[in-house]
Amino acid sequence: MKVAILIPVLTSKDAVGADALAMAAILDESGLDTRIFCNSSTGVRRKTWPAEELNAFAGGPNDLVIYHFSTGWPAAVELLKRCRGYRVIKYHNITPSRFFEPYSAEYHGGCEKGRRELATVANLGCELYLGDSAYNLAELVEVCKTKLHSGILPPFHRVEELVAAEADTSLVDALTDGAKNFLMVGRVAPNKGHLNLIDAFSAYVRGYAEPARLLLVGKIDARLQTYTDSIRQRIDALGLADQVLWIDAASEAQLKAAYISSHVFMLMSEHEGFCVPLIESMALATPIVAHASSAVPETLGDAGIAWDEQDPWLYAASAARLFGDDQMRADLLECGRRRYQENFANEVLRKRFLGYLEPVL
Amino acid sequence: MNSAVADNPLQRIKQEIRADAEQARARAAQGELRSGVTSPITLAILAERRNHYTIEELSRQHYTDFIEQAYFALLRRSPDSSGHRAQIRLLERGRSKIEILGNLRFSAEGREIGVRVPWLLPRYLLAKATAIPLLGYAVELLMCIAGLPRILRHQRGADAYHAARNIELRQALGIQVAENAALHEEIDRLEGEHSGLVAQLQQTSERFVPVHAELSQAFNEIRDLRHLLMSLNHWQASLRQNLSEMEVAEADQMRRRDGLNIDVSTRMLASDKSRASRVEQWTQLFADDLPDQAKVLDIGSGLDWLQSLTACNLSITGVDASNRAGQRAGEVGIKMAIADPSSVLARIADHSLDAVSILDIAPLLRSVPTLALLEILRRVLRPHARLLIGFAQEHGSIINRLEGHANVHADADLIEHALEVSGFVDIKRHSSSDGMHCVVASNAGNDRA
Repeated sequence: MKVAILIPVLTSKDAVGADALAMAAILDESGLDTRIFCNSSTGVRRKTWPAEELNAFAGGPNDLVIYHFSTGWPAAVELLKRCRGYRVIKYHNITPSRFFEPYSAEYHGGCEKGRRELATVANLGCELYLGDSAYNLAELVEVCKTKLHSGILPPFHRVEELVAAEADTSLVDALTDGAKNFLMVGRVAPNKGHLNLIDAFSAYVRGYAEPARLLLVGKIDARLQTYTDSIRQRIDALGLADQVLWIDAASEAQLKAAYISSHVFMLMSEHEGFCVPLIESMALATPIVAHASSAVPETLGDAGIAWDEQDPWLYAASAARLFGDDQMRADLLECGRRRYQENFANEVLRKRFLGYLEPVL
Repeated sequence: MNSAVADNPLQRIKQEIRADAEQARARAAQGELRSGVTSPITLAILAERRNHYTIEELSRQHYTDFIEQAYFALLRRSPDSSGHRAQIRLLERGRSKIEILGNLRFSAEGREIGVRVPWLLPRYLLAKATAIPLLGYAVELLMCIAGLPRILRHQRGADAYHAARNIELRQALGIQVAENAALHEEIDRLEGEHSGLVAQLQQTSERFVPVHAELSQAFNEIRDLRHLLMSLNHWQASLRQNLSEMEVAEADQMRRRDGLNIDVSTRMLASDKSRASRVEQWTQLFADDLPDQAKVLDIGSGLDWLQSLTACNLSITGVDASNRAGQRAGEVGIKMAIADPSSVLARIADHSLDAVSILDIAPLLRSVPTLALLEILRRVLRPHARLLIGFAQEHGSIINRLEGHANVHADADLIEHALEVSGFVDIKRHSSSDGMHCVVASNAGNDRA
């Protein structure tokens, strides 16, 4: 049996890439001849093969193909149609295009194309459909005309490496000056709710008048410059320029420093298919306050405070409560630690992954 | 519901947070910041300090700026993303700014804040009335007819504004066209260069084809060599291991043979009836004049000879190549160096011994020439020190015979002359009762010139 993992672009730092690489490593350990097929790869040591060679390698009736579906890619659909073996779709979600409409025609078009492809992929009749979350899986089920053989498998991640990594001590020193640090980790994209986050942070500064700092950790995308500019304008308009620290393309050491130095992880995202930063916060003991949108409540569970509303004052008051209520903070952190160990640790995910593939291995 | 809340701690906490949020909102609205802490003056805070706006003020901005300003003025906060999108959609559908201002001002949140905007309510109601089917159309028509003079003024003003903008745009377009032409030229030039580069790249690629073939061949040869090297390395490792095992086996065999040889020679010596008296005579001859604890070296003369000398209160060290002989000497407390006698002699310091005894010189002469041996002995013996050389058949000679080696014929006359030539003095030959000879000599006081 040969195994092919299909992904449009493979990068080690991206959540989808980390998931694909971890799956490949597990299948290698199981003694299976496994290859990753993609259009391009960056920052990855593992050898990859061009996508068009997939069928020659693992197109047979006894082979296994796993497609990581996170963007529109018509070529992948054609490749999957020609595979005669066991096909698995791992759906990581595609951001609805409406978020990008005011900011980038390119992203808007790409997401719309991907969303249109959702129905095509769901109706390919693959042998197994896996979603990062029940929220993701529900999207597939909704557009599928027949009953899907499906399951939920959160993405493999690099949280354990992050926990073991050395933190950037100079950044830790700079951040431990008595100010309360609010942390947001995620790429700078319109679905991540940065504008609402800044309002919530502003509400805290105005309503509680305590020294505070907002850390925005995430890659700034030049193609979403208009969105980035709107965030900067909002920060300037609220007079928060001195209290907001941007860390673009953070190193592992900087990311760890940001987590361990922060007093609250505040997520105002309006659309998430899973949200790996939430489980990073759980593992690194940073309390969480989040907007209960999309898959966030499912990932967060009882390990943080979640609000359906977007009223910035609720988030400011939640942070203030966390800062002042030691018992509540300790309870939430313990819940987070337990939730991570029981549901999201890589070893747990590994067993679930191999369990899903048991009929074919 | 209250009992449900009481049962769920998280719900209770969330209710408390909700209440705290309202208090914080009120604190911020009233500017009641905690003492000692400064907060930056923001657009929102400035807005909160005003409680009165005119419609004209609020309508001055356009599109997103209008929405932002309306939120800050009427709700004292920035727009949330869903609210922002909803208001923008209304504007894009052609709804009036009055309607959007009214939506915000007369929402639950807006009513709670209560910013005053004179004449907004009737105009908002009027704007809402235009949405009623048929009646709304009539109302809007009447409003348009009533407002025709004002609309005409606006139209004339807009004409002038657009004419001015048109002139500006044409000028800008002219500049842009000129820039475009320059850019086109640049693009043409770059395309020319690109074509040239593509051709060069093609040529370079063609030149690399044979190089690539050679590299492939070289790579294959290196791979074969690597394989050969690995095989050779493996073979060497195996060989080394085999040799090591053979050496161990040989050492075992030699140890066993050495033991057997010593056993045979011991039996032979034991069967020599006159040996005991000979050893006794020669001991007296050799040890009589030596002082107590004199340092004596014996080479291969047997355990009974060593014990006999030890009984004379001398400091004896034996030398023998046989492990078994050394082991037996150790068992009776006599020091024994197990090594080749010539290498032991080479390491002894000059003039450090009081006497040397060699009862059986023949085996020693197989490895060291007579004169060289005497030269060494002269070096290690103190002046006037004693040397005894015997011509008996001891372990060495017996083992040589067992091993099938020919013994050197040690001749007493020859040795006497050699001793004399080498600088030994007082050379005397003694014969024991069984006819065996030995020669005793002394080292001369000074080296020969």
